[in-house]
Amino acid sequence: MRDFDYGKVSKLEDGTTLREFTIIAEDDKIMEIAPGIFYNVWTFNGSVPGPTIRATEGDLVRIYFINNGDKEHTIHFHGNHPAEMDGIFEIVGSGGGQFTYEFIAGPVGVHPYHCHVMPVEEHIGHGLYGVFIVDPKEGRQQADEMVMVLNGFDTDFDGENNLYAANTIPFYYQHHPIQINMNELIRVYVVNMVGLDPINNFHLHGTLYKYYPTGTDLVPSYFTDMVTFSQSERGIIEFEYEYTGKYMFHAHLTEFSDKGWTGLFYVKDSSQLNTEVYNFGS
Amino acid sequence: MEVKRSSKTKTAVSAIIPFVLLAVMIGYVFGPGSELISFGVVIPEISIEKVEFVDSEIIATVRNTGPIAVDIVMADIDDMILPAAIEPDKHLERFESAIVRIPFEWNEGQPYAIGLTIDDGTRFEKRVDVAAPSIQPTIEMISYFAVIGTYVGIIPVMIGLLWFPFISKLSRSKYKFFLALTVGLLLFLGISSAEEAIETSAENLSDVFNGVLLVATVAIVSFLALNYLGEKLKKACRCIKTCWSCGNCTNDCNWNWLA
Repeated sequence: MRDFDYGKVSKLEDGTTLREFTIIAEDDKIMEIAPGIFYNVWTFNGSVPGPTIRATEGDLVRIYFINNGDKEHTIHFHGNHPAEMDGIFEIVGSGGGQFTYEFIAGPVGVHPYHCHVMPVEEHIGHGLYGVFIVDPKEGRQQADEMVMVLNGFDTDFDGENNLYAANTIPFYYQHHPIQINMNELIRVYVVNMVGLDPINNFHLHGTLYKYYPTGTDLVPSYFTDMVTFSQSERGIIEFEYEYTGKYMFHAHLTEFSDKGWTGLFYVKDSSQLNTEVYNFGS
Repeated sequence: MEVKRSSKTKTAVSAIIPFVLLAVMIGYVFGPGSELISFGVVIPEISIEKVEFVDSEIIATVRNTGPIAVDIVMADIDDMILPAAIEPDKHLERFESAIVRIPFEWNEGQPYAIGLTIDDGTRFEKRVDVAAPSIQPTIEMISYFAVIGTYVGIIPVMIGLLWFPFISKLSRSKYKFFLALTVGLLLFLGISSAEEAIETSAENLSDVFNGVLLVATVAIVSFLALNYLGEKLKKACRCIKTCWSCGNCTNDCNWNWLA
């Protein structure tokens, strides 16, 4: 299961700006997605959501895709790439089929990637998705970064999601609050991959946040505490807390928050800010 | 005619042998561990048999009525996932039952849907149309029902018995009329209770218990049992009468009639 992830990027650098990744798709894992509930998840690299891939604008990204599942799968990236790299018509066969996706990373922003084999709802619903982040060349402001994929599971296949979550496990951040520092800039890359429901939203307690839709601009579009997403809508959320304590963040669609999409930030007062520099392979 | 003891046992054994062979064959073909015939995907099932509303809690009684053992892992009211307790434990073998206690502030008169999810993610739901506090057995309740029972049961029957002098003086045909009326009434009540029993079993009982067959079987068995008891009592009554009249208590009286 994926926890939150400071843009953990598995990148192999080769030459100047080539980034290579290997993604393996499997569809026979049964994982405990909620206490006691075992669900057959289809995974990229063994986790839901799949690995967060990160590159800087202009890098050549090469992804070796191996399909070890019983069904056909592909990877479809949102972003700029040639038509042959779109992951729609080049179906990768089951049991070891391979394909190499190669494109120049762009545009700047946060984008989802997911399987695009029919029925797409089924392939996404079982867990074949992940996040692809493209950083601007000049970089963003130093911040405490994390990735949240909003997802849901229909475990009894009745067309309605039974569980909702941020990063797959319902109520996880409510039981394990995310610890952040007071007065430190926090950046969350949020991607909504909830199917079967038209909209989802992200409400934050205690402060308002700057929202960059799709992360494509360095100037925020909204300053708010509630933003609404439809499936595959995403953005970058930046905020700071002035006071310490526990603050909830959750879907303000109370049906979703009652079914697991709710969490807590625990704001600590540290006398000095963490001054680690996050080195993303520059 | 005298039947020799050895041939009696032989008869008994020859009756049982085919059944033994049948049991062995069934065990071989269908029993645990055999893979000769497989009937497709096994679907688990649980039934929520009873839902009670008590002070700040909703208590659901659940039974595993499916073909495989399950674990009850999540409880929700109206799709809201809530922390709940299950007694004795969440693993239910076939036909085992458990009590799920969900702390919840329910409102009287509102409908609720109680859902239970098992370990493979399937959710089973029971809808309650109106939430009403369940009746707890207390001395007050019991005495209350005893009083009602007296008013509705004992007293009308007593009043009915007062009609006996009138009935005994009626002519044969008029007596038959009242008898027919009574039989008709009883038939109506019988059919109406059978209908209600079947309805209740369809709503609350899982298919595995076969509600309709259960109602029919219990009705017929009760009838036969009452008939049998009636015959035995009549015989005992006759025994007592002959005893008193001629002081001879030995003939045609089997005092082991209760055995």
